[in-house]
Amino acid sequence: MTPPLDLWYLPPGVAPSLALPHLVQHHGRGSTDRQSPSPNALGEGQERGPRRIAISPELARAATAALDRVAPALTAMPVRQIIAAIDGALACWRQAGDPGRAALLEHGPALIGYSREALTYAIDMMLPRFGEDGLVEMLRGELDDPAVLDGFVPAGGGLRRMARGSGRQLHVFAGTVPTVPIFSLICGLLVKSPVLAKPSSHDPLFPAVFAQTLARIEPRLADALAVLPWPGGDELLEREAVTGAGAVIIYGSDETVAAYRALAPARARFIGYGHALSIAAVAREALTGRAAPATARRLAWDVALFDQHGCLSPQLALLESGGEIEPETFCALLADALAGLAVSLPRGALDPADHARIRALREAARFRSAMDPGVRLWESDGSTAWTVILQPRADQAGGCTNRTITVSPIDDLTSGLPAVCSGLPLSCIGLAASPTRARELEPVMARLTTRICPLGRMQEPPVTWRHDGRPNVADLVDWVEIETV
Amino acid sequence: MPRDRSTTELEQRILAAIHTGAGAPMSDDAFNRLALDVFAFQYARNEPYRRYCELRRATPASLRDWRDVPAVPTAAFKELPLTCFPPEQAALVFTTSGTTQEGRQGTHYLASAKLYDASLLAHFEAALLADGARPPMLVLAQSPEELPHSSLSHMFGVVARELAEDCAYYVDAAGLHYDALARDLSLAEAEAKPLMLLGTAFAFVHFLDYCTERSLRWALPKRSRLMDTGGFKGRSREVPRDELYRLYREVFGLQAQYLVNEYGMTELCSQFYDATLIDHHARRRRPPRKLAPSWCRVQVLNPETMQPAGDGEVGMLRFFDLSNLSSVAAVQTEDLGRMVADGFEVLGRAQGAEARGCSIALDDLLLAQRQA
Repeated sequence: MTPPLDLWYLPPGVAPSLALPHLVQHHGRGSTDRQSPSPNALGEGQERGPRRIAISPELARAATAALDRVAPALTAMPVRQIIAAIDGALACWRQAGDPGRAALLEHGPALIGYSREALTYAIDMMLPRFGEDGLVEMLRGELDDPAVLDGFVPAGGGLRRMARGSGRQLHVFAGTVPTVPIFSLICGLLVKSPVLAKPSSHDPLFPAVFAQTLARIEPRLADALAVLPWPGGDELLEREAVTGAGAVIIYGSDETVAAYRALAPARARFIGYGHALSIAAVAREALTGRAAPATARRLAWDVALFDQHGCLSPQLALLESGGEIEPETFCALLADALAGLAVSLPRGALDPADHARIRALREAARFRSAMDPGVRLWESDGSTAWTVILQPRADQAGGCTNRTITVSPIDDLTSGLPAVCSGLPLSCIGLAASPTRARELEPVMARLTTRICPLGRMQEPPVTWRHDGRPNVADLVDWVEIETV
Repeated sequence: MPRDRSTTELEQRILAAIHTGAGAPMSDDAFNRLALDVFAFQYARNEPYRRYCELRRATPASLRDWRDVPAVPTAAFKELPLTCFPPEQAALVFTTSGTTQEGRQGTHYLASAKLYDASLLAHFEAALLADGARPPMLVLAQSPEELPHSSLSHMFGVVARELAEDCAYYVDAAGLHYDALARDLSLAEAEAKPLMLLGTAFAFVHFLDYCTERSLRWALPKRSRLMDTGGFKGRSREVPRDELYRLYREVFGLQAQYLVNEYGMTELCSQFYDATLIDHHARRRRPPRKLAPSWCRVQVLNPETMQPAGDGEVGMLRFFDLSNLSSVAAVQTEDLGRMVADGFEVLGRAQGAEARGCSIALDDLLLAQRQA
């Protein structure tokens, strides 16, 4: 008996009549039908699909008003208590039998397009980073003393200082990696700002279930969240959502970011995370017979985890020439590793257009390989599960995500990285190199990206990671200072 | 075992099939024999194609069924000339429009216009002029003189020359001549003589927007007809097909059964048309679908496995077009579709798959940067 799953979350006092679930959608994308809104029928929960609501501008207005009403109560809540509640909610998700976990793992594969294995990894291995220890460490790193969020703290020189959230926040999510919206909501709550969140149609699940789980642990904190899944591009709703916002945080395409930037109130904080991708760079010393298998396995992991949908996912791997093993050998190792992950960490289900894109990419590469012996193709048999393309010309590299990786040999990383990457919106460079080479490459890479990490960890930045070069909470607060002398 | 045949002999056999008629059924066996002979011919003379086939381990000696002939991806036409003759001797050179992924255009070199034009005329006549009408053509596209490398403009030029009593082009390098078109529509309306409108869908959208702004409407003479083609690709607002057809009816006063969408591509010498008008003339009711002429066969492949898709299942469209004699007959498109009765439905481009928010495929990013 699974209780019905609601793909939304409303703060207290929002008239439920406005939120009648008159649109019900079953598992899988695109199969919509109308059903009675009655949420009873015990025992049929597992057969019934998750419930959706249609969002009206009136509902959005009611939600923002409700969030503004709970703001003082949120401000009064000590940050330690907030952290403990978040920690508790994430811990719930790790417990077998937790309804939140069940909802994520049962409905996630169909709703988000990730395999159960990938979602399990996200919940059990990645989200714990946002537990108590991680959040305290992150707050210390960005604000020195988390107590500044609760009141004035002596700052030396006769100064006392506190950090105050800049007001109600609007978060618009991209539906790439499911942990991203969770951390975004957490950051809003840490600075004691109520959050109106619009989940992506690609992930309508995690934000709503997070709010619902939080409501079981600390309802007063969950009261500060509203999760309203309206279809993107509805300008009336979007105007309503930004009205009165103190901070507007947008994850999405460059077009989506630009659209909200134009709508956001003049005085609101605006943070936009637009288009981005990542690459892997493998130095020649990592291409020895001994090191190469592990390097290939690490790269394969970065490609496979979340199916290259994240901005931290590598879409191109540059191999430095002069290594002990040939690029072909490395690609074969990479192919083996991806084949293994296709079983242990399966890719999510794709729709026909995604499969077709992979087929088109492969056939174009196959044709090229017939013309140019330097081009080679490794591919899963009878499926589109994974694709490795060896393309000697990095300027002709292609990729269409969903575990399609191009490998391009380049003469030298120091000159080759800028030549290939300049102008790309690069989130991260995953590097396999000796410590000495890594040092040497630092200044080059620092001009191209804001995150450099070892291969194999690209998808899993630490909680203190400054996403695309920006702090997590320090951008979301206003400092209030009292000069006492 | 198929042997290499002379160009003339194969051309004659294909022309004979074309002259039998687009709708005249060709037996599976007859198609298979001709297709395998065409494959042997192309394998022998088209060097890049042969190399691709070798990689796929397919030779004329090893194949018994045209369905197993390696299909070149449309992307291959961007790589190098895919011809069975020296490309500098091409009678026609068609290039794809728009910016491509690699910043290069797909190019289709044809040894002669003979097969292309024969295929075009036979199927066009069957799909749009089966009632014997020869209405004047009003074309919302550039003339072949202005765009000699556009297969679409070539198509309009040949149809105008062979099947229309009169023809005018309303698009040139300066753009769409709205006023002239509106005036000529009014004249035709007054004369009560049926006409045929042809053009790209995005040009029609621009003209319809112009008409809507000015509240222009016509009741074009009965049996007037319209053929449109192509997508929007950012060249006009995106209009769903239902909406476009409603506008055609409302603004031009055309009857629904006289609206025919063409699906074609630079890489294929044959075209495909909605069966609407054919069904209307035959007084039968069938589901909406596109028809291929008898000398071109369609396959739908499950994109996950590349095995034939099940009945009505969505997959990638692949064509075996005998009239592609001088290049490659078997062409794998990136378009999705499904079989419907004796025809097929086109559902659009694989490229159109929606990305997840801030995630961007390297391909899309490079494309966007080139377009900017």
